[in-house]
Amino acid sequence: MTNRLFRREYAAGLPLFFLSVTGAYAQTSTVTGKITDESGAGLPGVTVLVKGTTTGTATDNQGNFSLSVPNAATGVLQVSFVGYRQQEVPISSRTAVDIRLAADTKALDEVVVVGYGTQEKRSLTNAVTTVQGEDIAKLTVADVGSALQGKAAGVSVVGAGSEPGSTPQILVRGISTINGNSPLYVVDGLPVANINYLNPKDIATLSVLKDAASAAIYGSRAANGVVLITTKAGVKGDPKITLDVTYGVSNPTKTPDMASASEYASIMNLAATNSGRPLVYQDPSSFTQTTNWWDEISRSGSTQNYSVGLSGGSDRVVYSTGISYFKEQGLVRNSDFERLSLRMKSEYQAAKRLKVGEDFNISMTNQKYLNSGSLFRDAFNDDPITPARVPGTSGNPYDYYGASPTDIGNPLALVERNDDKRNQYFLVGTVYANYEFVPGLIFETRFGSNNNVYERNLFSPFYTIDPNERNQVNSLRREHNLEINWNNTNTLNYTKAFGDHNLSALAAVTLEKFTTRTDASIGQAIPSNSPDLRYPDAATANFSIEGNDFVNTIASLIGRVNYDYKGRYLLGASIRRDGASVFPSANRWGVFPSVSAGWLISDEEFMKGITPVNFFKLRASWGRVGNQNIRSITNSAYIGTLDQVYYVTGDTRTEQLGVVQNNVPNPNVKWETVEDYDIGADLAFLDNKLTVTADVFRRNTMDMLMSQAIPGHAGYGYNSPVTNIGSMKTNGLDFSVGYAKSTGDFTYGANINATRAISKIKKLANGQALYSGNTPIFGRPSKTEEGGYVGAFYGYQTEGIFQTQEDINAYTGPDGKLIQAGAKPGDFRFADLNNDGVIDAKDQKFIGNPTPDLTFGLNLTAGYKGFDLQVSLVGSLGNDLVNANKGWWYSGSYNYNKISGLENEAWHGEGTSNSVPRIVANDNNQNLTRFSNFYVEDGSYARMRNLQLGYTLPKAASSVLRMSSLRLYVSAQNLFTITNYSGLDPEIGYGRSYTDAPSALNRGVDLGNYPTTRTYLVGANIAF
Amino acid sequence: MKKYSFLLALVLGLGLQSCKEFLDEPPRGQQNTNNYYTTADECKAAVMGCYSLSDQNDWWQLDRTRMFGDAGSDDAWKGNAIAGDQREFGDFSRFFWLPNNEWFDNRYTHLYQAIGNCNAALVGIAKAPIDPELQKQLLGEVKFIRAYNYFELVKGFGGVPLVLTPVTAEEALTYQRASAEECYAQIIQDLKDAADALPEKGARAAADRGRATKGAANAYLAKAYLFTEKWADAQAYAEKVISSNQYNLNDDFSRVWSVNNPNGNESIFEFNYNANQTFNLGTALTVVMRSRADGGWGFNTPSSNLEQAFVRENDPRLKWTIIKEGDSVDVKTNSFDYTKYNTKPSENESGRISRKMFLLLKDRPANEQNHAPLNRIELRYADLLLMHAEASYRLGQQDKARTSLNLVRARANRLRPGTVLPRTSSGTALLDHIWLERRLELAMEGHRYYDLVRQHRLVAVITAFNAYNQTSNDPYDKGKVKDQISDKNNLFPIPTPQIQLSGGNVAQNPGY
Repeated sequence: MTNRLFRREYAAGLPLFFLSVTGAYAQTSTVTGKITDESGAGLPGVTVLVKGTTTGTATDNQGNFSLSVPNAATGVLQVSFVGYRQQEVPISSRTAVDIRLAADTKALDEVVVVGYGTQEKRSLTNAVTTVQGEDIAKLTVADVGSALQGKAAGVSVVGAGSEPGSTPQILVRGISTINGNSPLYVVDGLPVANINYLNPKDIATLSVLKDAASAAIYGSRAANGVVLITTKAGVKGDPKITLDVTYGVSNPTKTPDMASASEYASIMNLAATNSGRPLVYQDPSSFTQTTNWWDEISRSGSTQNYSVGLSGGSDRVVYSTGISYFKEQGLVRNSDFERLSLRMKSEYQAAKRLKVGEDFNISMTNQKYLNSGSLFRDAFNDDPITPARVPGTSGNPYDYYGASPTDIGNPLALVERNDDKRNQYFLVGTVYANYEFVPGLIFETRFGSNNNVYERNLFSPFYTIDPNERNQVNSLRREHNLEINWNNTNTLNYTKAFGDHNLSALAAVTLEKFTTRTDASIGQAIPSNSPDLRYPDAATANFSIEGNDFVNTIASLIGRVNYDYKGRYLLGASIRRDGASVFPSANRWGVFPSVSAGWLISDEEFMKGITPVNFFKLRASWGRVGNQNIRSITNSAYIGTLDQVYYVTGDTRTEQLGVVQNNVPNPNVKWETVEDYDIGADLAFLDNKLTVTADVFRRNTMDMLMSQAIPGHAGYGYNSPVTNIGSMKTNGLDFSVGYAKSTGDFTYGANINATRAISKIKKLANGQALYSGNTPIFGRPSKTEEGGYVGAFYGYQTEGIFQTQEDINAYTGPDGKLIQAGAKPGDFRFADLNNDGVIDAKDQKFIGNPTPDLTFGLNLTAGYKGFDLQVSLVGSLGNDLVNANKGWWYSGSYNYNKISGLENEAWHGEGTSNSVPRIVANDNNQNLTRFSNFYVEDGSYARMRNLQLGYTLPKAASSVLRMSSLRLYVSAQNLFTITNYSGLDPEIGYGRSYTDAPSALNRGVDLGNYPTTRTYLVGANIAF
Repeated sequence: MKKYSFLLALVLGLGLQSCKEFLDEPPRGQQNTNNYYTTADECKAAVMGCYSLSDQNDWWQLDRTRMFGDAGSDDAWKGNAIAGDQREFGDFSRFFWLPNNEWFDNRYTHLYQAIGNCNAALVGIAKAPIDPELQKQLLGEVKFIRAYNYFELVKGFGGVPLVLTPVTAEEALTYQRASAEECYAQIIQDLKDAADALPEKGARAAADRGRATKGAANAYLAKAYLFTEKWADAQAYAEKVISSNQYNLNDDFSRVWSVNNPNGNESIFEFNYNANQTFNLGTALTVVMRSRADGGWGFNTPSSNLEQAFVRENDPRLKWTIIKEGDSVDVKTNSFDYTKYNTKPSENESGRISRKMFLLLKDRPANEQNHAPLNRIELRYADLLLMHAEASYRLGQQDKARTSLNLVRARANRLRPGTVLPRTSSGTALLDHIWLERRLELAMEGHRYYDLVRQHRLVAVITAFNAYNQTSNDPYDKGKVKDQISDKNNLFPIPTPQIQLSGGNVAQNPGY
């Protein structure tokens, strides 16, 4: 087996550098040696493995190792360490072998974690991108998704502001389903939906399974891609203690420049005058005090992370444990997120052929949640005249705020009385046992459980800011949701080499059950607003309870075969059969196959002479995965359920129990199928310094599941059925180019990756277009129709502004009549696209597309002696955004605040503007209440995601401090953003939608977000 | 290998064996449509659900669009003078009717939601193993509710898709708009079935008051015939109600809209409310329509033109219809002087608010929005008498017309005897008097717009109203106009989402 190029680890989620000690039972001799870096300093924690076996060890603090090898004459040492290029050194019967490691130049021999196992990258036939934990750890962010931005080809991460505890939108190869799901995370073999418990800095390695052929093995929930995460594991050797400390402060990347009080008053007057109304403010210049609501509610934010790790191992056990604390204080007061997590991971050689292991994560997250979806437009829309605070005498501090004549509640009051604590307690873990019956045949059973208790304490105080802004009865709500999800995976693996033929086969059965038990107690009329009384026991009236169990299950049978000839011709195939409880029994089961092939051209004789090419592999795959994992689907997708309501009757006004149907059942709902074609190549040139991976893909999504809005006369109100709504085709490519070189003390590297994924709708149920992205100003700007893009912007086309009455008079239809007879100079001229002489709904067309041409990440690294520099730039090209806020900020029809300088910017006489219409209170021309190209802007951007400079103290210096290594660093996250977008931030993510549920259909509609933070950090990485 | 194959088979086999059971997970904690309608209580709850949806629980769903009848006429303005505050209602009030105005869609969708539940209840109750007598009555009650909701739709939007059985989402897509005549025919059929099955108001137990009655069904039949100008039928059904002796005008005009007079003597059909703080079982309109200085939002404020209609007639009902800036309505309190009512004219387009939706401070529940227990009277006896008068006039029976008209006036006269004298007019003057009486008696109750459309004079009345305002000296609403009025305003636009979601099967009204 030693010469096998194709090798597979069998335990899903086994750590990348996990080393077992099965070799200890074989005939052995001992090899010792020292592993050093390019400067000759000993490297601790380096993995030394006898190639083709699971026999290995790790170097001690000085870089020394000692290893028992079964065959010193023919054995090869495989030496790998994060950040360095893997090396293979024949032992040749030596007993001492010293090896110097070169900095990583994107080794192609790395082992990649794939579904239910690992695979060498060189023999991979699927589209899989890996990211090393250390690249993720360079960013100090709360969640994995944010850390992944710009790191992996094929993965687009779009932030949605920096609200503590929120997660970004993650798309693997674009929109594969339009339901806005994140990818499936599989942490150490356990699929989890909520990744919030995990500190990204605890990740050792991360693989993104991009094509259906690789993801198929997690088929039932894999349609949005799979992110396999392996957390840090122990290696055999002396205990190693690591300490990471980071602290940072943050401010917003951008806030809009809103009008001052006097400017606002003057604009309101102008709007009134232009519409023949009396002045709103007699003397605008008298307003000398401006309330900047954003300043009122914001503060400087902060980010902290402290992690301590301990790892080590002996012949029979390896372990890794750690504790970490992360805290983010948001830019807006009263919005915080903190996480304390403890992790334990170990594996035991329990008997000669039996390994057992466990990994557990016990975490607690506390979030102070800002319970207002519209706060981040309100803080800019609220009028600048109203004072934030006013003196009061009521004795209730929640009363002492200024009341605005707008319909916006005082944003500062909202922030200060907001009391919505959301705590979660996680216990996530797996135990497993793995038994090797005969060499090559391994049975493994894993039982994983992902549990959390969600606790929410919401308190709404009584207050009276003015008669229109008050709450006369205080109330509280306590929720406890218990989520118990378990997963049982049983796999049988067989691996065998027959001469040049290598075969491995996997059969698996998985059972998964997801249970959420909800429970809420609600009470009102608490004697006071005192923090001491914010408990259900203190409520005196109007008690109510809520609670239910939500259960769904998935069962799967899986088979997979991989075959290669001489490691040069590679074939793989898998098939799975999934059943899900959310479908009616007739449609419950789906079958999803995949095949893949690879050709290692660089191993062919005819390539031997072509020296610049070190590695060249072609691969292709086809596969299907099922999807049932959409937000709104439950076991009642196909059954009509009834809600209890009350209606009052009689002279005594008695409540009578009533029932109403609360959902729209669809008895025909079935699996969505995502089909993927992928062709890719992996290349390495110039002694592996230059590496290229490129893929083109096509994805067909069939029977797409989504909640389908239906006409009112169907009789279900605004409820929507889960429907297999149609099919979609996505074409795209992704690539990654890396270069790394070291010259003396100087090392440098660059990696650029990019993704293009263009989705077009093939069919929609009944051929009907979908409208989405609802806004309070002009309704829905996004339209998805057959043959069109997903959620493209559809509206009117403006053709400049009427400068004079003559312009209006000259704009006539085929019958010679004025097309916009009611318009006044300063109003938009709308294009009469169908040339029928009237402007109506038929004059709309596609005026923008939220799909980027390309999203990219550029990562540069450089090192000189102890210094290291890392630069990460991310961005998006060619996508459009709808800046819906303009409907308020440029409008005289609302008494909301305007952008600063509007009077000058807006049309105010012939020749003054051809793009911003006049300011009027009665917008009879629908300048702003029609969705037009006025709102559509280019959303391209490039953002300096991270800039980090580190310095590692020389060995001599750190050993004085009794440390084996010490690195200090400073970094800036989101330092600057290059964009033409006029709104707050070009990254909208799912945004803060108005009425439509978050989905890809609402992409790019900006209704205000939590601002994105710019963070400056200092930190230290210490090892003992 | 053999024994391992056996193990594999065992593992896979066990998995398969348990799978079928493992995947059966019914929804929990809720009854479902497959197992409902088994008892009389369940059938009654289904009926209560239909009432509940006809009224909905939040102000934006249906409550607020009840103001359409006032603000879409010469009786009232948007009210709240703040630019952009409920811009859609401002657009409505000045007849700038955009199909994408959410208020139209909310009204349309929620009325249909009630209809959808009625359709399901009709099927469910018909199959339920319950007492046939009760079954017939409950089915009649549901048909009344369905007819009520279709009536609310057709009088605003014109003909609408006529959906009479529960439909799946897919089936719904095939429907097109029926004609208004077809809709009225169905409404009339449902109401006739309801009238046959339902008890009279007097036969309803006290605890069931507020539920539909034979009288309510007959009164709505009269109204449906009036709207379709079938005068003889309108008169006949109105007379059925009159002769049933279930209703009278014994309550003073001042007590018609009162929290202390639920389902009063003249109430034919009203939505019943209470102030329960846990659920939204009350109205929001008392807040929505009150002065912004007095804890209200200041919408739907009466016009000086409406006030003048009372003043010209020296009609004492004015006091119980309009509160004008400075009026005395109650005592002075620490926070508000109710002896000099402050309508906050800076934020009120007409310096007036509706008295009918006004609650005295002592009658206001905590968190009044959606909790105010002022029942919504949809049809009352005075309205019925005036319908009878109008139908009788059209049939040339002017004596009958004057009798009913003067019954209404006699009650008004009791407020200040000698002011509201019986009408003796005839010919078109009598018709004008009947129409004027409707305006005065039913002002700010949500009827005026629909009456003006039915009477084919919407554009003429609003044009005259605009002319009046341009020469008016009223300190509050002089010079204001509803400038966007045109013929198309005789129907609401079909909301944009309905056209979109039906794939164009539901067509737009002319002019939009």
